[in-house]
Amino acid sequence: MSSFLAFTVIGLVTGAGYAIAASGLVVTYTTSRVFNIAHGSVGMLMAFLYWELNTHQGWPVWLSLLVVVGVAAPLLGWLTEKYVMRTLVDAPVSVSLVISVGLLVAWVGTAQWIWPPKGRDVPTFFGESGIKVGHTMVTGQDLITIGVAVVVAGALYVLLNRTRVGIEMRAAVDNRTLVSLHGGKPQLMSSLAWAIGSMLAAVAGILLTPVVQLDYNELTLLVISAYAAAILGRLTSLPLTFLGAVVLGLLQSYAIGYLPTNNLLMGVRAAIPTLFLFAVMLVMPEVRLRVGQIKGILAVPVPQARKAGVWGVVFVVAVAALGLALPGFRVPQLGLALVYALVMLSLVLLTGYGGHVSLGQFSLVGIGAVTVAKLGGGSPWDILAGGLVTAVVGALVALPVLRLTGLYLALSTMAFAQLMDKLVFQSPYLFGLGNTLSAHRVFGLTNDRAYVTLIAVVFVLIALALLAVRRGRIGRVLIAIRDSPAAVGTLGLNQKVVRVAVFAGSSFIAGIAGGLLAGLQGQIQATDFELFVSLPLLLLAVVGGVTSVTGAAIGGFLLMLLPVLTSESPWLGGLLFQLIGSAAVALGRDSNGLASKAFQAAWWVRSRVPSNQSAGRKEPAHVAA
Amino acid sequence: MRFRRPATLVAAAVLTLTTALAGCGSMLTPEQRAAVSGNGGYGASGGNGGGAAGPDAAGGPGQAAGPGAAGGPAGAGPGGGSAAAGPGSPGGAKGPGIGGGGCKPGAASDKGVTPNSIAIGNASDISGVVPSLFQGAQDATKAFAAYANANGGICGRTLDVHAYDTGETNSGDKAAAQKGCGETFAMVGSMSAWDNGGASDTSGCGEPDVRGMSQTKDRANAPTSFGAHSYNPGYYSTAGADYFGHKYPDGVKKAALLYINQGAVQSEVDAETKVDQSRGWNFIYTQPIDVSDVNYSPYVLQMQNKGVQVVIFIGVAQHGVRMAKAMQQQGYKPQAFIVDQAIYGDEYVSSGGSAVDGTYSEIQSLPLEELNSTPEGQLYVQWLQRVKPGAKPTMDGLVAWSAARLFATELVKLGPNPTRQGLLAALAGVHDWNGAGLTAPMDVAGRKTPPCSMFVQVRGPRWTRDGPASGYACGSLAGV
Repeated sequence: MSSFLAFTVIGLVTGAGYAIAASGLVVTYTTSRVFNIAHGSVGMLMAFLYWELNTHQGWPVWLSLLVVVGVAAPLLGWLTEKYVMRTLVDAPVSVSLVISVGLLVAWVGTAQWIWPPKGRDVPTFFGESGIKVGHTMVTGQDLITIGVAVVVAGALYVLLNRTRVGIEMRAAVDNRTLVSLHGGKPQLMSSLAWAIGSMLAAVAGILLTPVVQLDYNELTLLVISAYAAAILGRLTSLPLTFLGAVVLGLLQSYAIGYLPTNNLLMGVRAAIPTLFLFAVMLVMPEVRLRVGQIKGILAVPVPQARKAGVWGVVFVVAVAALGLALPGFRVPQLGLALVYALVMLSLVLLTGYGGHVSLGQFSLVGIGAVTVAKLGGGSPWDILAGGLVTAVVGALVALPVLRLTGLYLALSTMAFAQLMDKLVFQSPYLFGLGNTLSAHRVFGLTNDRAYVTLIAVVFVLIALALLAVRRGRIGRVLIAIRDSPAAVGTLGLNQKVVRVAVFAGSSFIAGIAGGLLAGLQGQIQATDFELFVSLPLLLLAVVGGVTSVTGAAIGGFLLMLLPVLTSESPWLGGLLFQLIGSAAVALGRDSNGLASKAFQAAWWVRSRVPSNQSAGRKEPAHVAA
Repeated sequence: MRFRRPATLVAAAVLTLTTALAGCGSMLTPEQRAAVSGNGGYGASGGNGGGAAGPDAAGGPGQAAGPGAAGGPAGAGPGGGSAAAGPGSPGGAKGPGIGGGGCKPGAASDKGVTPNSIAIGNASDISGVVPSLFQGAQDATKAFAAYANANGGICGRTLDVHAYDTGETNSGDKAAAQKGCGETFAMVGSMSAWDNGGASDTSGCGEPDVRGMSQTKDRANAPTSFGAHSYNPGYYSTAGADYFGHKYPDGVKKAALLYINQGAVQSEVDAETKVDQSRGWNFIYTQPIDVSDVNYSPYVLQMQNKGVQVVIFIGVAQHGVRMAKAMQQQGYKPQAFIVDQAIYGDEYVSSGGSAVDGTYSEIQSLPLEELNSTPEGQLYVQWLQRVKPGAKPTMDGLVAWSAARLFATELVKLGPNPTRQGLLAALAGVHDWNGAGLTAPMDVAGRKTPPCSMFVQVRGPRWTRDGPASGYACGSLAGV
């Protein structure tokens, strides 16, 4: 019984930590409808600043807290809202997610740049003193964490529900114009909400640092566990969020206390937040369709079949020539870029055409790769099997979340990726104790240049198929569903079947990419397919242009170049992350990305070259799709 | 016991988005930095490594004052002049010298060799999830090259270091291996978390690869790769189990093994458990911990409830600190808290504060704190400062320096016209290398994990040797 009490106390402390982290998410989402993935990175940045002032510079605790929580954090939140988030209130989920991922990366890069990696001792508040509850010691740090969680919960509840400012904040999300007409200041309210959210992130970061340590990544990603709690309250209910946080903390604590210790159950324990999230989503009521609202996206022109075919041949020839021109060690990098481009093609179908965001696409790539590796990989049938197995998994992922849309659907893909990380890829039954699987190349192509050319051929074939789909009836249906589910529903179309098909099709492409990747590298590891590899994938897919084949190719090369650039110019380090994050923030609003800019530039050039055919043409860089 | 596992490194960092960014595919495990801690040193036996034949073998004025005095690479003879007399040794960087005395530069005898220089490559993790993971290895290789060049080079040829960044990725290691094949005579002092990536490429082109330490089985067993620290995931020593078994005979009957479950750590845990149990240990609590888990208090509570007396923890510094602080917070003080060698280093001490005091670790090299006690250690420290002022010695740097010394020692034996084949043949005969006193005896050619270790403990603000009083304690090797 005393053990139970001890595990309960520890679970409550953990839950309090989750609650503080999740509360900031709720505040920003409630007031801006932006799921701020960068929330944890703000807490991380502020925790480093607090360490700098308090521990490194020797400022007193109260002054450090005042400067960090009272000045720096709200200022950062205010600036973020004013210059980045303000225009995202009505933006598609893909845009707001990409931009917040961009911010996350930028903040991590900033912290690494200012505070290079090294050991930093972070003392706990009140040292080792505390009180004994049963068999467990509850330290001053724990008590503060619980106390702050309670105070934050109460204060936020009162603010959002009992004060004019809070009500105005929430009203600003629903209709800014109406708030203005009633004398409110919606922009000020949004800024205030982001300032508060940023302060809460700072509080969470400072309180959790003595437990988590000053670590760029873990502090940043703690919010990923916390969001499961917030989902219970559908990102808007503070009481339910806190309940979710406490239940999560308790479940994790009891799991350590009472589940047998073996690898399989260890995976289950680690996946508790994700399982919790899935359970909550399964019982969520179906989201009502948007009515009276069409959010079309201007897309790049879709080329005709013949033109696309010609460009496809040109592309393959160019890749083959490039392969011959490049030194040997560059050829696999070229292949990697093409594999990434192929993965981004899967996002063109899912996100560009279908309007669904996937935060776990690399997990699907992993399924394809593992399937091919297990089958050997020498036959094209192995690659095809990899694609088909992945397609089935993709369809299965889509089934339980058919009722969800937008953000929840995106989060469910992230949850899927986490489950793959914790329960599948970590399993020694899959990758073996050596954690590596070997794979042969299809047709036994040991020559890198030949294999890379083969990948280019596969890329072109799938791209042509994708464009054919886009030009046809299915493509028009997809675009219609993306732009106005309500209108399509009114016409009697079964959107659920279409959605499952899109997920399956996208997964098929990702699986094929995985199979080719396994052959390219010769061996694969579980860490090749971690959840967080998928985030930069999405980031650069949007930067390249997630609505076009050209954008996929650009994104693939950018993704390949990232490690190459940091590797060949180490001084870029954190600066490169900052640049990428900033680029995503700057370009994220236009899902046509750099591809669109390239088309516009090409048209501009053509329009200035006198020719009979171009005379009198209007610029078609964007057409309503 | 514990700690040979560079593979484990992989862990935590993976989480990072940064990683993801850093290269989508750049998944690595942070531990690697520390993982290196296992280096070899040479034992009380004082043997010296392949150095036995030292540079002097080729003749030359050899330098009397080498680590040889301590059993180091003795005999290092100078070909191009002793360190003391060398042109670049102001400040008295004394050491074994380079060797090859009397040896005149020959022709362009093989890839990367010219009458004036020898191109060597170093492929280490510089960028990636954990920034500068093995920067120390590359710096040390450059430092050794500078030292060698200042002392007349090798047979009159200067060493020209081509630095490659493997970016903590498989593909990065592969690309670096391919570059190295085409540009350099040999790879020297490399350290890469995912060094299996380029293992087949390096051996495929027949390039000698004198590494600091291999991180994966594929690399450790690659035909042309030789680790100056001969760690091999297939072999485990009983030295640690015996040392702590004698120190805490009752405690080891109630032992716990907790580890961050990432990468290939599971196989290491299985092996370690097997070896320790064969020496009388009894594990009453074995607990994998997910890399994303941040609250270790429940695990501490479990150990308290079960009456655990000796705790082994496998992870990286930040995890070790987290566990130490959770134990301190709960007022739990086992007889011994023993951490993976990957945790050994400044970061653990500086970020752990009082919570980490008393922690044990097992290493197979001279502790960084004792570097100045040997001439070779002094050389490493001094030349590191010359090529990179302000840089601190690291364990990966230490083994990389040892690798560079091994390379130079064997190369000198080949005379004026070295070839890759010749160097490979020479390396195949090195079975007792100790890095001129920096590491425990290493069976480089046998590719076997060193059976000898030293045990260190955090006392106050630094790691301090706990035992044996001098040299290393040796056990037997168990193949797994």
